[in-house]
Amino acid sequence: MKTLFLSIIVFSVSILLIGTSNQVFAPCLVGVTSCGPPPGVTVVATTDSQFYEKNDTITVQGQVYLENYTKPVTIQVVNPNNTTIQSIDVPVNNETFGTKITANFTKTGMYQIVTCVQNWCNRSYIKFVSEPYRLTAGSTDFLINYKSFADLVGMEADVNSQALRVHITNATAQGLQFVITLPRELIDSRGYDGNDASFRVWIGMHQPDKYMAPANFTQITSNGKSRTLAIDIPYEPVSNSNGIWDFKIMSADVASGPGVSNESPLKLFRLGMTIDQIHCQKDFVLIIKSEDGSPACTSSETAQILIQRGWGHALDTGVSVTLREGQRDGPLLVQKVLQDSIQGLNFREYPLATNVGMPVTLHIGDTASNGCTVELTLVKINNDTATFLKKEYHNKPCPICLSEDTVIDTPNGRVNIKDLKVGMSVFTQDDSGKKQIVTISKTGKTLTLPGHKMVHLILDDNRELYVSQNHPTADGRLFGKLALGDIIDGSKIKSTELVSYNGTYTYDILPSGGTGFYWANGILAGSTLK
Amino acid sequence: MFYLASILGSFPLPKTFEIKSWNDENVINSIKEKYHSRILNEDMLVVMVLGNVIPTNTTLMDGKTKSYSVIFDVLLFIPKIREIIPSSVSQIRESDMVARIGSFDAYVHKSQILDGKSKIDFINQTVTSSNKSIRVGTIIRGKITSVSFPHTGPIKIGMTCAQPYLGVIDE
Repeated sequence: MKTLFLSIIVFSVSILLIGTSNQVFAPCLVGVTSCGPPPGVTVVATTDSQFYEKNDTITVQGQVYLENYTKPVTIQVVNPNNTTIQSIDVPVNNETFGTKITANFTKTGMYQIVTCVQNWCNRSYIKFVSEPYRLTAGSTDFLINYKSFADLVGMEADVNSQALRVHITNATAQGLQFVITLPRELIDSRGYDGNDASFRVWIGMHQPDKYMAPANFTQITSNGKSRTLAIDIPYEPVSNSNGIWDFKIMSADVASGPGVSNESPLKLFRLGMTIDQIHCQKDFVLIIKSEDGSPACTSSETAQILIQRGWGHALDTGVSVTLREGQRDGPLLVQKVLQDSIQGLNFREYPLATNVGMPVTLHIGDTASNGCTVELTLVKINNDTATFLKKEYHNKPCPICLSEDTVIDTPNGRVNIKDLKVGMSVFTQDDSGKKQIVTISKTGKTLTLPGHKMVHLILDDNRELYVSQNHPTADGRLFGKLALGDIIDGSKIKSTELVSYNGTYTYDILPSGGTGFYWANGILAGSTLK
Repeated sequence: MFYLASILGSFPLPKTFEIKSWNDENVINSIKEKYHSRILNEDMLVVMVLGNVIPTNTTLMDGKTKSYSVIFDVLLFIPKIREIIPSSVSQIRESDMVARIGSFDAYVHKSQILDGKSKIDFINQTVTSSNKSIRVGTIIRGKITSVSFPHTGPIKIGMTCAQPYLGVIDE
């Protein structure tokens, strides 16, 4: 009879356990494979979720497995320090009980809801997050609410990928989720019509983006200020216990409408996004301003007019280039074509111009670049040939110009290069070496990247100049190639060194006339503009 | 079968002892001293105190000793008649065979070792029947036929392997 009674209890407990995901018993010991709740269990209690945030309501429901049991059951809330912080007596009706607890705890971590009846106890483990994550993006602090049974390692705004990256660890059970509330001011996803579009969420085990996989997620709530997603965490029995999972949350897929930010393309560009990461609203096209390479979104009619006037040009979508071993195109010399990758040398011109190729191994999707104007992306390998998509960015030439404090000789005295405009007068040298007054036919400025280096040149007569390495001298040499003791513009070089440039842009002008020469800080120089 | 459970219990400590953590060695040792190998409900045995101690609000004063009421996790062994359980053969003797179930010994009488006629070789510690062989270290599947929880000494478990699907677990 006793065995039958126990069997009924075990069966009942099993049924209840199948239906609850947050019922956690102590972990199995090594070598013990048949562990679980023992027969004779008197009470089982479950919570309505595995994780809560501040002021959430925890609903506890349970059952007493003792016939005609009428005494109240004591439910204890135990904090991560194993201290009981709440103790509630709950009445039992028809061998069931239930209560609601407000999660107004102070400490983030694992809490236990413990219920005991006649020396048998039930523990339900829940995760509580006491405060939102503070994420600083640009100069703004965002408070991001989240909750999960896993632990949050950190979040970061990835401006380059226009994504929010989230890192979690200790996802040690099946069926776990990460719930995150995304402030619209930080990240949002909208379709062509301006309405909410689905986010894209990718997940991977702390690995490069190309190994990430699409994550299952649902949007739980949405309002004018935020959108809340519940993202499934895949279950990997081994790696989940110690590994870090990365989420990458992005705006809508291009296939279902470009990811459109509320910010202007120019602002995104200044925040550090590259041209190909910027998308325009429906019916607008992206064009590149010739003067500084910045993006703009206009109607197609306006774009045509601007391109005809030379204000800007269309975005280069690239051409296909096929290379075999020993062949070079632009910055890349292919040395070996392997089954899934190529090995070769990458010749960079920026930020440090060099004739020495750096060894690189490119897999499909990887890119080699000269640092500014040319980019080769490996798209296919077929036997002994590798196919690349070659893009030339005329809008972002390698900075080869002069520093922003350079002064140029003009008939009106020395004028800062930043203040010179097309049509203004400037001194130049004609083909016969005579000084002439001409007008400026073109001006240009180039955005520099952090860490941009310039040559600081000092001559024996104390003239000095800050100039990019690949800027030409009047006699056809490059300033970066000049050595101590070389003669330039009639004077010996006393000092030349590479220094960091803190300016945002470098500048150049093109005087009309045959040579394009001008005097920068009193030193005759060539122009990079054509 | 082995089970993991949380139970409510108590343990004594000197009144002067200051508990800094409920999972420190002194607390765990005090609980172990009281509950290790203890028989509960007359049919289950505490194999191991695992800790995870939560104090309840009850503290009883008793002269120089305090009795602390706590919740803690234990590993229980609850053998059931007719339960089929794997075990590892540890000894082959003249009248029977000893098999280890976790940290417990189960005894299989020689008449219950293998189905059919079996031959025991005490020197090489092997038992062979027409088509199977058992030796020390062999994992066998046995059915519990008797359990005894004596007031003193270890629990006694009787097993049989002489039925279909029992005996050596095929690799």
